[in-house]
Amino acid sequence: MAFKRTETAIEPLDLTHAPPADVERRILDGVKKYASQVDNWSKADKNTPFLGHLIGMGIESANLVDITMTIERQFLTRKTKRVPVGEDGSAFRLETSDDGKAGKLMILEGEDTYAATPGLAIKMLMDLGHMPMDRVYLEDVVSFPYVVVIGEGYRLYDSMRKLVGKIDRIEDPGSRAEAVSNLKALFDQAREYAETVQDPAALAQTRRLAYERERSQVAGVEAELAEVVAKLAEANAAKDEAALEPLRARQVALRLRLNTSRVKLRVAEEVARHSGLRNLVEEAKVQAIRQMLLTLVAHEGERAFANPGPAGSTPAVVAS
Amino acid sequence: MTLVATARLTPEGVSVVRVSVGNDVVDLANARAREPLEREWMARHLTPWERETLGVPSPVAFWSIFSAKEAGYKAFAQQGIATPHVAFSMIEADLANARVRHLPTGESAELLHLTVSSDCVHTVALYAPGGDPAPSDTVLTGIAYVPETSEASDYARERLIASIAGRLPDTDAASLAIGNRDGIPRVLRSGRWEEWSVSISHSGRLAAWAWVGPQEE
Repeated sequence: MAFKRTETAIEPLDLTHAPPADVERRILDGVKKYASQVDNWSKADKNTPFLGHLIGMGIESANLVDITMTIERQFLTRKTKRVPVGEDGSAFRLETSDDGKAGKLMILEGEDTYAATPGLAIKMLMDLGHMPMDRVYLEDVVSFPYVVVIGEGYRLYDSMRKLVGKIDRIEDPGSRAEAVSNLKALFDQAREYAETVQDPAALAQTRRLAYERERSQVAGVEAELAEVVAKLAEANAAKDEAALEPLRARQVALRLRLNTSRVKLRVAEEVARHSGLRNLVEEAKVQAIRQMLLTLVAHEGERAFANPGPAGSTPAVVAS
Repeated sequence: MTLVATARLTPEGVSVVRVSVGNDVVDLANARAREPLEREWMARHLTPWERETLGVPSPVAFWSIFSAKEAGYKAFAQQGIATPHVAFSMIEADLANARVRHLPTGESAELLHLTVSSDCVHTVALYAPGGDPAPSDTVLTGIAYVPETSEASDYARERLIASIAGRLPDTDAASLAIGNRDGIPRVLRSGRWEEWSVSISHSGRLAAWAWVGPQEE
């Protein structure tokens, strides 16, 4: 069952007893070929995002499915038995095989939504029951919401730093003033970001509101689907063929929409549930980017806004 | 010249509908684009209808579909129509009819522009809730090789700024900057966030950009 990677045959690892660190190493090795930011990849840990080039491994969207399939190829699981779910049985879930033997790992559509880092990919495997839950390992895994929030902070920092560099090269006072006005807008954005992330409760509140919105949307689609199902039953009973076809089409469309909405709701729920709590690593990373942003604002703000002057040094982005 | 919105008369009055643009480029010389397209790998990217329509696609045919989905995804996202991470089967590309559909909501965007060459595939999608916007000459788009001394994302932004400055009267490139708001790229002009829709893409050696600008007065 080994697969070849370059000239080396890799035996899939049975996840049932695999230490998370081994799984993490394998995942990282498996995605190396897709990493355009080799420096970030070489220093990568459980919290290094796959996507993005600032602090991420620089994997492109064309390789997202490759990450999932790389994970599937490298590991075996006991959960190989397909159990149909839903009315038409087209969907299925996975359960432990009757004979208890390990087999090919399958990651079903939608299960990899949060797997933005190696640590979150392992959390996915644990949540799905392919690996035993290891709370110690997960203690310092940055959650999906904070991967997003921290990533936003680094992108903002990068935009600001580059604009500062650009302003330093502009000689014409009028053009410089225009560019400085854009820098002020970014600095305002940075202060707002710093304030928002400083208060986990405030961040949690905005995320909870988003969750409530998603939840009411799901409820709306569920109600609409229930109505269509009732009409289908009536049309069936009345043998009204003309009404059946459009109702069936509507039912299919609503089911698909409900599946998507439920996925989005799970994401929103995860974000809302988690945003108010931070583990130590999340706290450290949030404070790190917050400090970088505020330092840049303080360091460059006066210089850029008060007086055109010689170019100063600006801190480089440091992956952490 | 360019259109950012169309005014539509509705029972509630006149409403202004924003147009959003998405673009995506695929460097066909990139390692991934050159790898064999495994059936299972493709199945995770294609909807059942796309699989049936395409049959056994050539690499260029597959990457054209992929690029159209990515462009559509970006255009939809700017209007709040989100697609979960890795959910390629929720967006369907109909190249023959120049449409890309967001299956869960039924919304549809126009595939404005699809360039296929031996080097690359580049797609631009235009979306306006409730119906198609005005004709295809309302969007500014470009594609270029990234100099070796430049970082692809930065180069795409610089070229986008240069294109916008070149099209707007009395606009200095220094007055423009690209930032992000709520994860969506946006243009700053003289310190003010513009409501224009922009899209940036890069792949391998290539950078691409698109912009829907202000309505001519």
